[in-house]
Amino acid sequence: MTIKDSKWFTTKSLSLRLLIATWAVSSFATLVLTAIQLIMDYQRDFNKLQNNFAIIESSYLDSMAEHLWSYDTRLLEIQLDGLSRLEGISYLRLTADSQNIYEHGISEPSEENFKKFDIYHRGTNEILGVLSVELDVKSLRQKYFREAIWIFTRQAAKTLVVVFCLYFIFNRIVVVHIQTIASFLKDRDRGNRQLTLHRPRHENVDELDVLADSINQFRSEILEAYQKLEALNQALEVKVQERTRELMTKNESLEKAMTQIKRMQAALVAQERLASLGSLTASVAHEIRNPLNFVLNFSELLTDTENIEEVREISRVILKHSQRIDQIVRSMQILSGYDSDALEDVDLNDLVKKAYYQTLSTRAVGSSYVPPKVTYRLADSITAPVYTNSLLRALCNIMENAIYALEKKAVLQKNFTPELTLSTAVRGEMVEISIRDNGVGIPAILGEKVFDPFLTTKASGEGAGLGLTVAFNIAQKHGGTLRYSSEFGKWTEFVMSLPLTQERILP
Amino acid sequence: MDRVRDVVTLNTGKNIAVINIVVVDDEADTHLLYKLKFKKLFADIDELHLTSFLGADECLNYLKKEEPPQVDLILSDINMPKMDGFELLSQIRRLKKEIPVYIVSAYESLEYRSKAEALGAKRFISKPVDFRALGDMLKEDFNW
Repeated sequence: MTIKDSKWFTTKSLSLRLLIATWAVSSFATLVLTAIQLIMDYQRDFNKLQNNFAIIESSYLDSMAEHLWSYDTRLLEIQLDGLSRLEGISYLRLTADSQNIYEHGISEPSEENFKKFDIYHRGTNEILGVLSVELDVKSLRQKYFREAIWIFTRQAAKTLVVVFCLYFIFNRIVVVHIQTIASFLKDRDRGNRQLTLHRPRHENVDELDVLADSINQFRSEILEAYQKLEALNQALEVKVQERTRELMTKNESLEKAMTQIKRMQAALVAQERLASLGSLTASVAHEIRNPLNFVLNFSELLTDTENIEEVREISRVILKHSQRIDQIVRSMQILSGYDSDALEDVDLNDLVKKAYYQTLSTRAVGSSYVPPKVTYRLADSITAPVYTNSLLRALCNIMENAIYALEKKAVLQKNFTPELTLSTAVRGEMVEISIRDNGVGIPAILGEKVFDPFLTTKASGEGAGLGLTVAFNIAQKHGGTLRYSSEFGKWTEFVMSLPLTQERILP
Repeated sequence: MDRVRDVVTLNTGKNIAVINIVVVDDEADTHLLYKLKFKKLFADIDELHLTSFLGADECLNYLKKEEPPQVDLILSDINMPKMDGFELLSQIRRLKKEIPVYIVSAYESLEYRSKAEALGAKRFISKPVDFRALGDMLKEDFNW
C-alpha cells in the first residue's frame, strides 16, 4: 500500500483490473485445456494398460496351460517372471488346485484393474488353474496427478509472469498517459502549456495521439473562447465604466440643473408672492377706489348743497359706499388673520340660526328679499370649539350667496318655490354644516375658482368677491374644509366640515 | 335701470350750447354723481344731456341706432361684466365714430393707460375722480 500511486503500481487502476481479469481468464483457459489434455493422455495410457489383459489372453494363457499340464514349474516360473516384468502389471498370481504356485507384487484389487483368467487345457477343456492379474492403475493415476499439479503450477506461474509483464506494459503504454492527461485536465494552469505525452518515437498515430491532439485542439479553442470572453468582458467593463462616467456626468448636470431649478423656484415663489401681493393690493385698491370715488365726491358735494332732499339722498349713497369699504377692510382683516378671535365651545345649531338671522338683517340694508321658507335639519346639540365671530361671518357669507341665488331665480321665474335648507350633522371626528338652496346654481366652469378673491358674478357694488374666499379661509383656520356641489340653474350646496375637537390653538 | 337719461338745463335763456355726454359704468350711483358734479362744472353751458349705461353693450346699441344720436363725449369704466371698456373702445372705433372717449377706471396702472391710449382713448382718468381736473381737461379738449 505504500507504493499505492507510484508510477509503476496503482491499486485502483485500470492496469490492476486488467491484470486480475487477464490472469483469471488465462488461468481458467489453461485449466480447462490442460485438464482435457491430461484426461485424454490418461485415457490413452489406461487403454494401453488394459491392452495387457489382451496380450496375456492371446500370448500367454495357452503356453501356460501347456506348462501347467506338464507341470513344468521352472518354465512356468520363467514365463511368469517375464510376464511380471511387463509394463503396468502390479500383481500376478497363479493358483492351481487351490495352491498359490506363483505370486508377485502387491494386491490392491479394484473393478477396473483386476482380471482373472481361467487356464483351460485345450484337449480336455479342464480348468488347470487361475491367473489373477492386477494392473498398476494407481501409479498411473499418481503419475497423472503429479503431472497435473506440475502443469498447473507451471502454467499459473507463467501466466502470472505474463500478466505482470502485461500490467507493466499496459501501465507504461496507456495508464501513465491517461494519468498525465487527467492531471493536465485537472491543472488550473493548463492554459499556459500544451499537453505533451512522453512517449517513445513512433510512426503511426494511435488513439492516445488522437486524444492528446483533440485535447490540445479543445484547449486552444477554449483558450480562444476564453480570450474572446475576456476581451468581451474588458470591453464591457470599459463600456460600463464609460456609461457610469456618463451617468455620473449626467447626474451631476442634473443635480446642477436641479439646484438651479430649486433656486429659480425659490426666486419664482418669492416673485409670485410679491406678484400676488401686488395683484392683491391692486385688486383691493380697485375694490376700495370704486366706493371711495362716491364717498369722496358725494361728500364734497354735500358741503355746498342746501336742498335737504338732495342732502338726504347723497348721505344715503355715502353711507352705502362707506359700508362697502368697511366690508372690504373687514374681509381683508379676516383673510390676513389679524383678527382678535379666540376659540370657544359653541353650540353650532345656535350658531347656524344666529348666522341666518344676521344674514337677513344685513341684507335688509341692500335688498329686502327674504326667502319665504327656511328648513332646519339640525343634529342633536353639537358643541365644538370655534372662532365664533369668524365662523359666523363665514356662514353669513355663504347664506347671503344662497339667498342671492334664490332672489335671482325668483326674479327670473314666476312659479318658483324657493327652498333654503340649513343642516348640521356629525360625521366621525367632524361636524358638517350644510347650506343648500334651489337657486340659480353655479356654472360648472367656475369650479374651485369660486373661492378665488375678487371673483364675483354680482354687479359692481353688490359684492367684492371676497365672501367665499373669507369663508374658505375660516374653514381652513379651524382645520376644516369648505366644499360645494351645484347644478347650474337648479341648486347649490355648500358643506363646511369642522373638527369636533381642536388639538392645537391656531394662531 | 339700464339706461338713465337726464337733461340738465342750465342758464336758461341763452340757449346757445347743447352738450351730449354718455357715461358707461356698472356702478348705478355713477349717474347721480356725474349729474350733480356736472351741474356745477358747466355753469356756462345751456343744456347738458347726460345718458348713462350700466353695460358697454347697451351703449353700443345706443350708438348703432339708425338715427345716430349726437354724442360729444363718452366716459367709460373699464371693469364691467360682459363687455369691458377696452372692448367698447375698439367697437366704437370700428363704427368709424370719431367720438372722444375718456376712460375712467379704478385700476391705475401703466398697462391700462397705454392700452387705452393705443385703442384711441383721449384721456385716462383714475378713480376717485378729481372733478376739478376733469373740468380743466374738458376746457382744454372742448373749450366747454
